[in-house]
Amino acid sequence: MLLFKNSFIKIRKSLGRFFSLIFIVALGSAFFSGVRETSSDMVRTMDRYYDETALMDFKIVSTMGLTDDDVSSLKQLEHAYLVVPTYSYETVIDGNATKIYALSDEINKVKLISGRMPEQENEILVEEGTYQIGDTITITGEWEDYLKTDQFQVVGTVRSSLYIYENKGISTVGDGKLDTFMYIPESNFIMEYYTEIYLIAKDSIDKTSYRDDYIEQVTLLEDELQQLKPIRETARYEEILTEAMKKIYDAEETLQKNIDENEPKFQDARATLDNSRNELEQAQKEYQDGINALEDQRQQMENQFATTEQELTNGQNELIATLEKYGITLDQLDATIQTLAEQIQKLQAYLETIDPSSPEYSIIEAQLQTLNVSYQGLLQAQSANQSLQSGREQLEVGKRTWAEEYQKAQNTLQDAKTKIANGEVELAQGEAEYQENYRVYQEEINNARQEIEQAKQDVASLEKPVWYLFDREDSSGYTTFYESANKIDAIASVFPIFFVLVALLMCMNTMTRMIDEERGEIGLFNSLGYSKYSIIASYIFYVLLATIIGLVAGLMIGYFAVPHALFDVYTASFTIPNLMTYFNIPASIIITIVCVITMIAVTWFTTNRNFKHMPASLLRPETPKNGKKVFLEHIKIIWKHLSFTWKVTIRNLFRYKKRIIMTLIGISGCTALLLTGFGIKDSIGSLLDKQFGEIQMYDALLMLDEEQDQPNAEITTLLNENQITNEIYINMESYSFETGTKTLDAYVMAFQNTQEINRYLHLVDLDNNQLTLNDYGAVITEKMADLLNVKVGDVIQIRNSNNELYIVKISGICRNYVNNYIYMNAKYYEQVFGTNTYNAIMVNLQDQDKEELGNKLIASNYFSSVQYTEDSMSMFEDVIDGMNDIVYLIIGFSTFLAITVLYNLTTINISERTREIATLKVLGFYDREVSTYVYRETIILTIFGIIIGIFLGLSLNLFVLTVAETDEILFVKDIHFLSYIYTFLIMILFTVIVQVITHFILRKINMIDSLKSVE
Amino acid sequence: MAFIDVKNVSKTYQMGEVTIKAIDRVNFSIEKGELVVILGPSGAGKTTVLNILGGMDTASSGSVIIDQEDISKYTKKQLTRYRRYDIGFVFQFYNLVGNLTALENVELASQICKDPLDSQKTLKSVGLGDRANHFPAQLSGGEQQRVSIARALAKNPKLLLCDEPTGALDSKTGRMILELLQDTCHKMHMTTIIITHNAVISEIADKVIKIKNGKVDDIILNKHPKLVKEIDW
Repeated sequence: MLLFKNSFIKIRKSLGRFFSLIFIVALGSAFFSGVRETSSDMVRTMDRYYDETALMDFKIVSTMGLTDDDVSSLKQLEHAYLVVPTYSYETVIDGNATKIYALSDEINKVKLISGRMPEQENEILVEEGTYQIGDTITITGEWEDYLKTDQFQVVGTVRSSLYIYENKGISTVGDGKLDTFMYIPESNFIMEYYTEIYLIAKDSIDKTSYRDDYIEQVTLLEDELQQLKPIRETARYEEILTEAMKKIYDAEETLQKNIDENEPKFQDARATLDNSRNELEQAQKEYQDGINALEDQRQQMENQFATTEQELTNGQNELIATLEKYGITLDQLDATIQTLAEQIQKLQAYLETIDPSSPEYSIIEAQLQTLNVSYQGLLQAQSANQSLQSGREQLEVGKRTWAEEYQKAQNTLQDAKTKIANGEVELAQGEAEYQENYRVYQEEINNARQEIEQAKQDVASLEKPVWYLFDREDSSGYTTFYESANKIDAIASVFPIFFVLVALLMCMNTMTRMIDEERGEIGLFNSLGYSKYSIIASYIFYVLLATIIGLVAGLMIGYFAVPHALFDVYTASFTIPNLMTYFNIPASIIITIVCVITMIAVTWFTTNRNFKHMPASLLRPETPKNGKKVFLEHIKIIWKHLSFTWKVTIRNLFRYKKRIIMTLIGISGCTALLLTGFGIKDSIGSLLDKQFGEIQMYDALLMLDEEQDQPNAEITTLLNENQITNEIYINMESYSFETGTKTLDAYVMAFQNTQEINRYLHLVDLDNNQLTLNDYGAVITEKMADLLNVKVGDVIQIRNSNNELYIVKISGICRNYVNNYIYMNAKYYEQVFGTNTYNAIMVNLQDQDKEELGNKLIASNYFSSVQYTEDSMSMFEDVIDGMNDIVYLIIGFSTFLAITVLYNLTTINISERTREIATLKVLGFYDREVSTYVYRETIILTIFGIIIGIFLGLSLNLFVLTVAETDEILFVKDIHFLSYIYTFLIMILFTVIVQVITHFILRKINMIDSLKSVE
Repeated sequence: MAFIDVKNVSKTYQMGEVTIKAIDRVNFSIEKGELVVILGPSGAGKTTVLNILGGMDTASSGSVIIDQEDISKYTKKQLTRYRRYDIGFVFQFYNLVGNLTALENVELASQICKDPLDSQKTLKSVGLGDRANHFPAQLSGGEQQRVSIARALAKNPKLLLCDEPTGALDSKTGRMILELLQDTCHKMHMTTIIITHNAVISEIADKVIKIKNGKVDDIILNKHPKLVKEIDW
């Protein structure tokens, strides 16, 4: 086919045109397909991740735990595919609020990044990027009720599809924000009830997450769950009630038994004690009696002894008196008697010797008689003495005996006394013991009674347990990810269409121009007898070749490169798998068909138009377009003063309306894109400067240890030692609020005093007036006010992690760009929350070594961690670096577009006017003058285009930023003056580059050829 | 010395490996104020001669002396200046700038000259005084060619070069154009060179240079050139 050969020759001859056609098609289709596909790619990537990790569809948490009964009733639900009860435990580890999960291979599976899965009960998996394998993790707090052990060995790092976003939601420990998560074997949990139950809905895995059919599928289960919820709540309530009542009854029984058992014992003890006391008292009395009796007896005995003594003394005295009659003393008695007895014997014997009748006898007898009488008297005295003697002896014996008896009695009494004393001690001990035991017993009983009473009250006020049903959308990451995808979609709905439109226009223009130029050739072929259709076909062939090449390149770039660039930017703060790109065959077929049809149509209509003429007239040059006076010419004052070339320029501008519009659209479009690119960059760039340089100026937050919740002089001293002064105690906690469509987090920040606050925080309202914290309300941030659609004087509802509601009145709305805050003074905080504790200290640093300072402070045990503002900044910087990439992408695309548009327009301009330019050359215009003649139009159009573009860019920038804004970030929507300059300069630079190229093209125009008739 | 002296001028084009000799050792001279017709069939090389004379092309060899200047040695820039100040050009297809009025087309040329004629008067002199503000598309072919002539004349050139000025016109209009050129030549003492393949036109010339196969075939001096109205078309 000669005509197609001709097409190839045409391609070779006009490589620039051909490639610019390819390029424009490629650019348009790449951007169109790529940006549109990105969100689908993202959703598909995540869906696969969710499926792989068996992410739960629902999570049930109860205020009173969950039981096996709950599980079995859930398992009976028609649309439940998987019901997995499990445990979790939240605690603060190394200053981070950490949630420890039981590892499951059925649901919410983790993705092992490094290391291995736990094999022992004390092995743990940590979030990637937190701890190292081999580290030991020590659980603090009241872990004994929940876990077997408190020491864990890190054996692996993981990702979890539950936590794909850097913001992990609310925690019940720490500052209220969950920092990280860990997984341990389920067997390490020793809790009585499950903390959560995860569910996967039937057939939900087949559906694509986020999409309507997924939502429909899981809604079936959700409806069932909602129905089951009150039933299980009641059941659990009754179960708990029953259990509680049983406990009360058991306790009462135990108490009663205790009383029944112990009360008599105590009574016995009492009685025994009393008895003992009585006995003791009796003994005491007896003892006293004994003493008295003994005393009496002693008296008696002593009297008796005295009497006897007296009698003896009297007897003696009588005896002595008697003896005195004998003229002897008592001592002489025995001897006297002896002597007397001898005398008597001698006399007797003598008497016997003498006649009884002798006188002598009678004298002797008389003498004997007298002696006998004396003897008898003395014997009598002797016997009296003897009896006196024995009396005395008897008395002595009596006395001695008595003394012994007395001693004995006394001893006995002494014993009794000792016994009594011992008895008393014993009794006192016994009494004390008894009293103590009784008190303890009473106490026990009272306690038990109180406990029972309390338990009864508790039961009376027992609330029904509440099941909280969470679906995937309640996880901030899940929703935020989808929002990111949607944002790309929103951008996708504007940018690509813009690109495609420009590309289409450029293609149309190129083709129109080409066919117009080759009008003569068409006429020639036609006159040679080639049919109209085969001629048109040759052009269509040319166009299609360019279109197809462009499309193939564009779709490849679009489906494989563009999504990656956007994905990286939008998901900088997500922990998720790499994007999986898909070549969207249906969409690419549609894009191809649309492109091909459009291009064919353009070619057809442009070519066909020429066949209205006869071949002969086609062979002649096209009648020049009629010149027209422009409006400006009627304003004579201006027109007259315009130089000649200006007049021509202005006329030309108005002559080629299509070209003007094309140029303006092209240039303004590129300008708008560029400005938007710079605008986004400015906005993100100034975001951090404004947030951390103008609003939050504090350098660090010193997080107080849990033990410390009030200002403390020792802390002040410690801080002063480290050159920190003017510190403010604050309380910072995370709360959630609802915007109607989603749940978001905000920090409540309460300040101990507000005099020094300006050192740390600049609260200004939207009109830049200084705001102060008063006792009647809180200052909230602009973004939050926007999201909640509230104004000063309104109230807002916030909830803590236990879902408890607090109402806060708004006293001001402040400028803020990053995160949502609710600022208040301590007094108002106390009014709202009922407490006045502090958990952090806000400080500014001079040039302390951070690590050293941090170590010192933490070592003091007053602080658990130090949060440096710089660190928060650097986290955002990462996000911003990502955002910068998208800016470069936009700037890059705009640059390509701008150059292509400018080049295309200029070459078209030149080729349309080759004859005119040649004529000028022949007339003797210098190259410079010729170029200026052509440039001037382009430059004017470019400048107008730029001006329009800047206005367009302002709106586009606003749109893009509004769409790209996340819930935590409020973009600064001002574009820096310098960015306008950059945009302007870049556009001018492109123009100049293109004009330089044009200049050489113009120089190449051959005057001589152009003098001839148009071929 | 003649006003124009073309000596041994050759022009070769290198078309790949083939060397084409467009003109071969052409010699002729033209006096100031002469009306010269260069006559020859298509492809004979007359346009090449015109291009070289007009400073649009350079000779491969030989010298072209115009008013004592050898333009064959000119640089590109010098050639442009030469075209700018010394040459008035009338094209076969008029080559008017469609977006400029008749007057403006004339001004387009005159504004770049050192000593231009008054554009309005020039236009009047070609008989288009009342159509000065019309755009080319509103003018007939003859009128357009007259604007083209006016544009060439307004530059007050040393030499008026006309490339087939009647080529695209019917005979009546062509005659009027030729008349204009002849008048101008005579009245303004303007050296005028007309290139044509039409032998009839040569009758009005003071000198006819016949070109054939790139060579000067013959140079005829008309002692008594005919007036345009006298010639038979």
